[in-house]
Amino acid sequence: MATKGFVISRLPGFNPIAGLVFAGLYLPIIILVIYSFNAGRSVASWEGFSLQWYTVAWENDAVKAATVRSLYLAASAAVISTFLATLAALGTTRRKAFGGQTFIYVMINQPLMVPEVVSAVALLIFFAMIKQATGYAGMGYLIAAHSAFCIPFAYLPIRARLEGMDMTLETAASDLYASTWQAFRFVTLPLLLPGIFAGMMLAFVTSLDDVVITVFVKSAGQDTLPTYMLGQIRRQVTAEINAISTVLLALTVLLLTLFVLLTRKKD
Amino acid sequence: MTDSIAVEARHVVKAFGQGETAVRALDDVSVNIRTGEFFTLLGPSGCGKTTLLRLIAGFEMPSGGTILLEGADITTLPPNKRPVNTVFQSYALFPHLTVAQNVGFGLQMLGRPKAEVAATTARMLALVKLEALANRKTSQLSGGQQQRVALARALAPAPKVLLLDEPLSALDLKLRKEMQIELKRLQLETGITFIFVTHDQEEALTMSDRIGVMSAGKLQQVGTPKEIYNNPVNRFVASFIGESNFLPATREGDRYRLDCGATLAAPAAKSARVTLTVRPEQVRLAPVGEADAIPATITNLVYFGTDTHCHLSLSDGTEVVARLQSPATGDAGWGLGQAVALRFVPEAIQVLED
Repeated sequence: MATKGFVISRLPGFNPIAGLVFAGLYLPIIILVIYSFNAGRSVASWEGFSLQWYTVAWENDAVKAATVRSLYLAASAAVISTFLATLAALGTTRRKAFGGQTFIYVMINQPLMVPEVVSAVALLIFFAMIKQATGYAGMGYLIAAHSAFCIPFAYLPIRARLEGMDMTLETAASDLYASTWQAFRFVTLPLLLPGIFAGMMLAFVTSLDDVVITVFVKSAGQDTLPTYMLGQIRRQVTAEINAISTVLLALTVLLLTLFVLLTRKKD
Repeated sequence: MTDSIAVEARHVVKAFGQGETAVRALDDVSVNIRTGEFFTLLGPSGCGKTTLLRLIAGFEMPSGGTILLEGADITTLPPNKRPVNTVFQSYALFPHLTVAQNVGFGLQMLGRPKAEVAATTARMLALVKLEALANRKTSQLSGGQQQRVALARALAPAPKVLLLDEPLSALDLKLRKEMQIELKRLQLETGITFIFVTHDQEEALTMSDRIGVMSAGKLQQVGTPKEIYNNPVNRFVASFIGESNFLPATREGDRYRLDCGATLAAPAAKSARVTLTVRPEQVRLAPVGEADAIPATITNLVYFGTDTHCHLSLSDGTEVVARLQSPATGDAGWGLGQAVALRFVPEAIQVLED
């Protein structure tokens, strides 16, 4: 019998371990989704299929307000952070290597390194000072905070796209009489767009999902969907939470699928 | 061809890096490239030929010296202000645009009317025989087709000078031969001055009106292919362009004595110690005993089809290669280890004073 080469999937226990890992990752989510269709109040015992919790959530004004606020916040943060991340990515890739380059990368990606709760406390104190000085208590603080921690999520795919782009293309554009602005507008930007959209989606999903910084920074009556859910769970657990989570999950999966499609390498 | 000058480089220096670690990619290069000629910059990689091209295109600024285009100083103009276009080694076609949009890009940036852009694009696509592919994305094209798009795109704005940076190096041998002929045709049809960079000496010899041979940031020799091949000015040019035999010799009056003891006649030189060079195809073999011939021994015979390379050793150990045309029938009758008499065609001997 011919000896076969080393194939990791043929090792004893490969399939059970893989199965266990996937079960650990997805079983809780699957259960959550299933119980969002439960006819009873409980999130633990099945009493038949129903869409009632979706109706309840849909008719709950607090949920509606939180959803609108979440989407508004995520959209604002995604646009602002993507704009800044695009500038940062252009600034760090479209020039000769410079001393302290790694330091700049670390600085831009600070939200990924610093524990979120530290940023949250820092922002709380910082914004309290501004609040005292100006009296302003609107959504601006949340938008600013979310924009800041979304920057690295938008920056990374944009930078990856720029680094994968042949710099000769921009040289060729300038050789063909394009000014710096025209070269950016007609060559760099169109080629960069998939990266920009991917970054924006990642930023959007990250903002939509945030709890820690939001809880610290938000003023009264500024609940987002995640902080609202957190508040609800403290009082009573109903399958309404499952229904909201399922919708949130569906939205995230949709956006991340788009992200994968956009960043996938063609040819 | 007129004798007016398209591009002139005056004492151009380009240094990369600073202080003691600076590298001089170009070291005081001066050259005149005539209007309408096919001029080739030839040299090994790292010799500075591409740097000179990039300076003419405006992608880099020289550290010193001046570059003139038709007499006007363009040294500090950005690339988009120079009526000069480039065909890049990697082609650098815009992947998000169609073939036609690529070709029309330059004219569009120049703000020409749409009708003119469309008409010129169509004319250029016809010139490179790609009319049928006008609406394809460039990623759907073969290497040879991409090459043609790159040429059409660079020619479309009717530049004063077309710069070509090793454009054929990515193509396979057969396609490369076709494109060499194609390039020459395009150059003759458009009448545009071509500056072509290559490390391939055969490409340079077959296509160029004149060649500039570069090495170590310096222009070693400028001349027609025949001048470069037949009268190399130094050892580098003689060895880089084709193959050559190098024979150390001492001048004795109007003759030269080789280190093996034989003497022969060659053009006059100033130095006492020189190197004689002879191309392998200018070496003749004769049976032993012929007068005024150099005794040698055959050490190797390599068959190449049209000719046979005969490696010979002189009595002092100097290696000489003779390229013998293969006879129509049978073999020439030379064998390994055989003692023969060697002669050089007298007019073919070059004297290098180094």
